[in-house]
Amino acid sequence: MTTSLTDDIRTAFSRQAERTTIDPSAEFGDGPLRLSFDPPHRQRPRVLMPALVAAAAVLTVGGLVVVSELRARDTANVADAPPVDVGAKAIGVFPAGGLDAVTAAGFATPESVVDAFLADRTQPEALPDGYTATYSIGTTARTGDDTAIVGFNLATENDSGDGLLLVQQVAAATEPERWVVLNGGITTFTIDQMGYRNGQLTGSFTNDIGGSTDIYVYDAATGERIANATGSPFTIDGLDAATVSVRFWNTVADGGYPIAVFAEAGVNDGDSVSGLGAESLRPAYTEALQAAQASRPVFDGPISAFEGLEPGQTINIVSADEMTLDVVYGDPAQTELVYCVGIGYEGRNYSANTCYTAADIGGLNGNFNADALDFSTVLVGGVVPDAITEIRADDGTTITPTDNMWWQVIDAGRQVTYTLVADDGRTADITLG
Amino acid sequence: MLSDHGDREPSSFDDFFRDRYSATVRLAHLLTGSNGIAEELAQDAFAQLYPRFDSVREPKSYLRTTTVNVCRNWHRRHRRELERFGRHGASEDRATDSIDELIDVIAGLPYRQRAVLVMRYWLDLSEADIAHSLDCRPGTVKSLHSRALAAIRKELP
Repeated sequence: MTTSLTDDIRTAFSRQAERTTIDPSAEFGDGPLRLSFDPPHRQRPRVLMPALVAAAAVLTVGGLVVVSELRARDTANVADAPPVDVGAKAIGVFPAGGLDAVTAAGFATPESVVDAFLADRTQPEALPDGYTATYSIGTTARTGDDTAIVGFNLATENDSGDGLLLVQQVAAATEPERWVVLNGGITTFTIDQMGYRNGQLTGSFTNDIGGSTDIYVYDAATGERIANATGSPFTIDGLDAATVSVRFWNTVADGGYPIAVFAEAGVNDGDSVSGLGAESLRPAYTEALQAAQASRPVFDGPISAFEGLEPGQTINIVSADEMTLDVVYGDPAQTELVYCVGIGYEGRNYSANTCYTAADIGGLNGNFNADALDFSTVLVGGVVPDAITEIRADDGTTITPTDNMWWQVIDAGRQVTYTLVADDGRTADITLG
Repeated sequence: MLSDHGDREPSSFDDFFRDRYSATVRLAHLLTGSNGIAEELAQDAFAQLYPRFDSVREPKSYLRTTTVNVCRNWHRRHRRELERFGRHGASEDRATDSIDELIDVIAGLPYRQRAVLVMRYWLDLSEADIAHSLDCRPGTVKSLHSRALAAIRKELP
């Protein structure tokens, strides 16, 4: 290589792209995959599918049919599940010990059970030897009356990974809510397949990061570790449990440094499960977040600071060494009026192309995340219409918009939910970070 | 995430398809290393966008993320076959010089590492936009990027 590696990578991609053969007469619908597209009139069912997939997935995991017996509503898709004894049978990977344990622990929200789950899994005695990890909880997406997917981040000293956990409410409709963790993990790790029959556990997984993976098997009803293995595929014989909870820790990458890769799922004796983990949860999670976004109130009123600008005019709102925020006149060459902001933050300059339409801003989607150059902090904020008079962060901070803009600096890796309050009392939540 | 909301999209899906088809096929080629499957994956990405085209605010961004996802799914389904080719055999392009050798090494990277390189050095996306397309945080993009470069340096003389 005579130039820098990054230059060579650009050259390599250019060369490979030049070699791409493209049918110049191609039209939409050509090719063998055309059958996979839904015509517009089927859009609604397609949107609903991920929620159903998420609900169906619980059938495959440790004793979850308990739920269909306890809560009749909205469970038509699980009605064919074979009945099981409630008793002490496991109903997820956390907490261990069945419904009594869940009730005693009192996990009243998806976030509380995920917090307890991750705290348990990252305590020193639960981790592989010499390994340390911390976690933070991200955004929750409700995928059904009784199911939710919760985002989280797992970090080691020099690595972090984002993940998703599927949780379910298992208490009877007349009782206080009780949530359990069903399965999930970091997005770079997928449990391709697991089967458990006559005391033999088999399985395989995909880990995009490389390195080696330790597998720990627990009796899901008692929480006792009963076996371990390494690598994929794996086979473990001689297990004595009705349901096993299988925990994966990939602690060292190919380069030798500690990494943050974790996944966990359960399987009943006699069952085979596949496609578990964050990747399988991602579609439902994304759809649920998009649905929540679409359900926000819309404000059609003015965005005064921007609308009074003349060509070439900029209003500076913040000017400091580490942060500049400008309201910028939208380019009149655009086919639609746009509202632009100039953002400079901690060594980065995002001023070139941060523009929103009135619909973006009225729908409370005119938000930004700007990373510091060293990735230590994040500048979050947004452009809001005149109607929004206050922003309340979940840490208790209250922010008043200035010239239709608001902002806050938060630590990298943290997610904050902001409640935008309108002058007519309407509110909307957004999560940034 | 920061993005170019000012770069408006063509109003009809047909226009949008004609405008973005070639770029999407090339992106799929770079993400999979397979020219043969790239057009099919591009069609699949457009098919996923089609029913939502009128409601999606940023079709280009949506199409890019969808393309990354369909290519990842293809990669997962064909992982076993790709592994049989070996680390230097995954690309269809035969190595004749150092750049071709680099193409082969990139083709052997784990999918998300390769996707980060493609989005950063081919699409010139910011880490924030890459994170959005990969549905992860910018810190994860940084980590995947550094791992990818380290892996390439390890493989190349």
